[in-house]
Amino acid sequence: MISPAWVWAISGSLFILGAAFLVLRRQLIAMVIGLELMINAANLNIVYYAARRGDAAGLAVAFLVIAAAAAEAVVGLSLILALLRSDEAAETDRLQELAD
Amino acid sequence: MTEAAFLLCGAGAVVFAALALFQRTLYGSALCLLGVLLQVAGAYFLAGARLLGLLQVLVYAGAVMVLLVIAVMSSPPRLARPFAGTPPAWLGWLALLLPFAELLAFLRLAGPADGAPWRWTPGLETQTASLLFGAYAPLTEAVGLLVLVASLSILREEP
Repeated sequence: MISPAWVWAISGSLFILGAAFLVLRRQLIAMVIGLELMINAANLNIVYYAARRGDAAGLAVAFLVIAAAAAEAVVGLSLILALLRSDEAAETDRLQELAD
Repeated sequence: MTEAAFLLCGAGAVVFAALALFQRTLYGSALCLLGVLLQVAGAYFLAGARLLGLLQVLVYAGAVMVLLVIAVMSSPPRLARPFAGTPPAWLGWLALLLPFAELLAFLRLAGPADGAPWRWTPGLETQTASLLFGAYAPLTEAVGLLVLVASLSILREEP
């Protein structure tokens, strides 16, 4: 029998590593990877407790989170591709404002 | 046994995420992210959410990863410097060690397990589908529309 603390630890670790991606990496694509890690960390917790308690609503919410996260990834990556097409570097230190 | 496998998948996801953070190339990071997504899908499957595990593989490890790899392939080679400025070495070590310290702290502070046996609830996925296309149908439709609008964002505006 495992303690739920294991799941908190795993999802918390994934969340911290995703946040570290956002802080330490300078490429926008790497920042999208970090966001995906953070979303997966949250979803892992939701699914664990929903499955453990037999709560179908929790699993439905996790399904909706996966779909919304996929949409977020598509929008983020298409913005990055648009930047690359316009000969801008997709790096954070060269983009100070959205207007750039 | 199932719980041990669940923990193994979770620990594998953390290790892949730590590896992804310190890859010098975006390809390496994307491959490690694929490892994380597959491990999380395995954890979903072992938790009894088989439909979600399948969706995780199809949507995340399939579609989103393809898009990510295309974006990486479109990146110019000048994106070679992976880190913001020159971060101090202690910050990298902190990012690597903090999750493991957190894991140890949780285990140290955690009380005993609540004793409830962990078994799959029969019919849970049927109930989930009933909710998604019953009470939560407007939400499901809204998220479907969101995905459709998001996929339109990749269209290029003609000059």
